[in-house]
Amino acid sequence: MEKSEIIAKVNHVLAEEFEVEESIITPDANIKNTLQLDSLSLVDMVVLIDNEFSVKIPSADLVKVPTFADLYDYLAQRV
Amino acid sequence: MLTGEALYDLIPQRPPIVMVDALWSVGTDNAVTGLTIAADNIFVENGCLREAGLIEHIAQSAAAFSGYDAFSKGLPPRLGYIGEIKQMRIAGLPCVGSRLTTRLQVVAQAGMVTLMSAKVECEAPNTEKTVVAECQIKIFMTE
Amino acid sequence: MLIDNFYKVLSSAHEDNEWHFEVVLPVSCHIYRGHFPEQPIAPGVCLIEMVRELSEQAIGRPLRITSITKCKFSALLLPSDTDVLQVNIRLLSSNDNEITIDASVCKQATTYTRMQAMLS
Repeated sequence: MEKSEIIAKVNHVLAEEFEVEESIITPDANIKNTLQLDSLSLVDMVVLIDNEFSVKIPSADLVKVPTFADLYDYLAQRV
Repeated sequence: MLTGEALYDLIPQRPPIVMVDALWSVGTDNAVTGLTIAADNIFVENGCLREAGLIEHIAQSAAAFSGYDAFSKGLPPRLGYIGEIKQMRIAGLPCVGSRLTTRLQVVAQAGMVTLMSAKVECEAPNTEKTVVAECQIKIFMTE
Repeated sequence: MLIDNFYKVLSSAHEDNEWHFEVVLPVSCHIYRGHFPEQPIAPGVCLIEMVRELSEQAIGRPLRITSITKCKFSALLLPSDTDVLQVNIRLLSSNDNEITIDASVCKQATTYTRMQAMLS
């Protein structure tokens, strides 16, 4: 998958799942703050990414992807 | 595998709110637990286990699964709380004397939260096994 | 009440499709012997049962939970003889035998539990 495809898909599925406007998703934005994720909804994001990209983000790796740009890069290396 | 009071090593709950009485099997990301519904179960009303009892059984099954991991490392059971229940279907309220068998599967984990899927089968006296409840449950584990 | 002495209703109000109850959760409830021995914490499932019973009171007939779309527990709730909790039950729909509710258990601005469920 091309990086641009990954970015488009991530933005779309996250915006839809967490009911935010895609326009507020910017690369340097913090994922948890932008999507208003608490500890309970963070696991929903892990499930969503696994369902959409077949990439299971282990709990220990979640701290490595605080921004959307980090998440795009993480997926680009694994998809 | 483990039944009755042996489960007290795995879960922090104590009477009158112990809702799991067997841990039949444990895998790295799955487990099978059980409960025989006694007449003096606090969630029994008019001879049946109410919804709250079913849900508590599922939650404590998840606790027993996490507790087994701690137990096998020589640690005390961690306190876990129900964070969220999703997509739960309750087909019926099982009656006293029924045996519940619950299959748990870890779906995902993020920090202190584990998302599991649960399926509860009920075997009532002289009847066939039926699925009585299914859900997704998020457990928030403390350190 | 299924769990004896788990809650005490102080007041109730009803407007259109919404019911509001004020309750306290007495510390003396026997369930806390086991939940947990070192620290009493109101079991989430007892809050669900409380909402079911208050829904029965509101609607005026026996109700069984057939499905829970989502029930979120946002904070730990400790029993207290003095803290007044608000239980809000909104009837979203009602057809044939089945009702859909959106319920919450709050203490002023803090929401402890929010649940969408179907009962019949």
